[in-house]
Amino acid sequence: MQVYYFSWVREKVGTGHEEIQTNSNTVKDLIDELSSKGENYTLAFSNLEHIKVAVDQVFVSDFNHPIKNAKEIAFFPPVTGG
Amino acid sequence: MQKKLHFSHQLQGVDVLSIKIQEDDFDPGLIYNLVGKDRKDIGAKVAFTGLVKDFFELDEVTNLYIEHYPSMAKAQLKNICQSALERWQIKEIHLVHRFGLLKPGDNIVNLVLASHNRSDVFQGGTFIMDYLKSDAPFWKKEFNRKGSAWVNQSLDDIQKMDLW
Repeated sequence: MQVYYFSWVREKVGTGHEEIQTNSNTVKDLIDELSSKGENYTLAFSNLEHIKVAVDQVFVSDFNHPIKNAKEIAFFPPVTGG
Repeated sequence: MQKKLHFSHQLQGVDVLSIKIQEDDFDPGLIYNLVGKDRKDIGAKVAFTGLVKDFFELDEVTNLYIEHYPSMAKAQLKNICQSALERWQIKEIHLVHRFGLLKPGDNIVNLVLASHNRSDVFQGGTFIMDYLKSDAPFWKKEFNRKGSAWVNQSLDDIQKMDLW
C-alpha cells in the first residue's frame, strides 16, 4: 500500500511517501499501526481532529472506513488552497 | 462549437473545460481574452484571480509555498467543476492553480467562466472557489524573516459551504 503525507503531517513524519505492507482493516487501525512505529508518527497523529484522510484519492470522514482493498492512503491537515 | 476537454471523461453541457495545475505563472488577462473568443453565444464572462499577499497569518510575508497532492487535486478540481455544471448553465470553465514557492504579488489561482447569462457565471464562479477552498488538496506555508508557519483553514471558509 502506498501511503502519502502532506503539509505539516509530512514534516512531522519525516517523509512524504512510503510503501508499506499492512494487515490493518480500517484507517484507524492503520493510524495505530503507524503510530507504533516511532515518535515521529505518534507526534503526527497525536490529534486526529486535525487530520484528514483520503483513500484512493477520495476524502473519507469516518476513520473506521475499510482500507482492505485500498491502493493509496493519504494523511494531511485541512486544505488551504485557493 | 469548441470541444477542448483536458480530461478523458467528457462533462455534459460544457463546451470547454480547462483545468491546469502548474508551477509556472500565467497571464490572467491573456486567459480572459481567449475565453469565448470567436463565439457569438456568450453573453457573460467573469474572472477571478487569487494572489499572494504579504500579510495573512504572519506579518511581512516574504514567500508562500504551496504544496499539493497532484492526482487527487486534479480529480477534486474536476469534481467541483462537475458539481457547478449540474447547477448552472456554464459554457466554458478555465481554471488554473499554481504550486511551488511564490512571493507576494504572485498569481495563485485563476478562474474564468463564460455563459449565456450573468447569474450562472457569478454564482458558478463563487461556488467553484468556495469548494476549492474546502475540498481541493492544496496547502500553504508562509515564510517571513522570523520563520514559517502552515496556514490554518479558516472557519469562514468552512462556513461558506453552508450557503450551498
